[in-house]
Amino acid sequence: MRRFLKPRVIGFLAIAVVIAAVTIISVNTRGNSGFITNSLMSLSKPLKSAASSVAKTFESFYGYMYKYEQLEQENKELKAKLYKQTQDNQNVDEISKENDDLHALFDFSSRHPDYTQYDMAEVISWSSSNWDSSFTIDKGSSNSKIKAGDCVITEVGALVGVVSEVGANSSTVITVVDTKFSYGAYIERNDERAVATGDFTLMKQGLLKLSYLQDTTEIVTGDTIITSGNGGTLPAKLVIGSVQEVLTDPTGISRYATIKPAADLTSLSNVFLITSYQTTESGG
Amino acid sequence: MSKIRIPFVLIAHIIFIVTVYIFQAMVFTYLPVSGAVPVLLPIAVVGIATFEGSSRGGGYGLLAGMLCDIAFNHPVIVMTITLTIVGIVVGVLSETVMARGFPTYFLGCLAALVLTAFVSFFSLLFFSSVDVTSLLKTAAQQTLYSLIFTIPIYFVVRALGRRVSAE
Repeated sequence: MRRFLKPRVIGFLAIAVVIAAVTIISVNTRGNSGFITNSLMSLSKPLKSAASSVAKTFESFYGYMYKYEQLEQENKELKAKLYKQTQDNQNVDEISKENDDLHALFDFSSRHPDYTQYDMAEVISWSSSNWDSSFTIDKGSSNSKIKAGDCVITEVGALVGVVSEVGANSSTVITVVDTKFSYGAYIERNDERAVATGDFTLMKQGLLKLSYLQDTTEIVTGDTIITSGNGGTLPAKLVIGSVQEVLTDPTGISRYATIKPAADLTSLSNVFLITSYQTTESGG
Repeated sequence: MSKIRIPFVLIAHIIFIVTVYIFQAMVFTYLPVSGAVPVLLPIAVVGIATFEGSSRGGGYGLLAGMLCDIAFNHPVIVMTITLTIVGIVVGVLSETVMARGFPTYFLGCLAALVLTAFVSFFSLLFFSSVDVTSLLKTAAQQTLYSLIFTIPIYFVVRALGRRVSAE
């Protein structure tokens, strides 16, 4: 017993008792971390962070070394998917616009049963000449029933121009402001006759001229001008535009009016052709 | 087995004329100044004719004229004939009486642009009884706007001309 109670043994026992006491004190009975655990965790946190960071670096390096090709391939595939998605969205927009145009045309055609055949065309390019106002469409004799003299309208029936030349796969259209455009017209409000013609000076301003107005003709700003259909060269009742200004000729003898086209010639992308119609005359 | 060698100069000329056509028909058509757009193909023809002579000038004029007619939505004849003649005449002048340099080129361009404008408004003047003042104003605007492009085109045609002489 004396051997057992040597001072060294007593010392060990005291240390063990202290450790046990501290451990017991630090053990949390409610499930929270105790003092020692907290202290150890605080001490080990920077070490853990450093170790984690090193591990991540190694992992990314490994990924770079061994997964690079896989990631590159994945990136390519994602890019292709994104491109396809963008294209699809664009196509949806285009189809939606085309659908809207066709709906509008359907409404227009149901109001005009005398126009018996339509065709849709896309504007390919505008003339780069300063001396005329014309554009090319993607319909020609090989892919449409188009012929020279057919009228070109927007989806709401506003007159854009007339087909002047037909090729195999494309055709040329002169617009309503071109100097070669000259067709019979009526003032819709009072059915009075006149002639709508392109004028070189007005063409630059995107306007055309309503000439051969009689002295008694009542015409005011805002009057709608429609095609007469006289002579069967153009269908009747197509809206050419509205009167912008009524002026007197430099000679002072006769009057004329400037017309703003109903079709916005600056933003045409799709147009419609009336390839067949029953001849009627409006006004009169 | 010998390779078929396409001359660099030929490729350069094709690229040049296509570029000029694209700029005239597809870029500047949408960039009018005071309602006028420039005409670039006659300048290219004069440039080639000045530095490479009448035969190349004529050939170039034929091709550029066709492209010009297409850009103008004309039947292929008016500008084709005009620019072919311009190419031959300017080429002959540069081979005989005029020095091959910027003054000859610039005067040739001015003459070609005035001629192009006149050819364009000829039918309007005589068959559509359009006001002469309006026509002349548009012709002046077109010519002046086009003349701006004589400078960049000059450097290209001069470089092409030197390459042709070297080969």
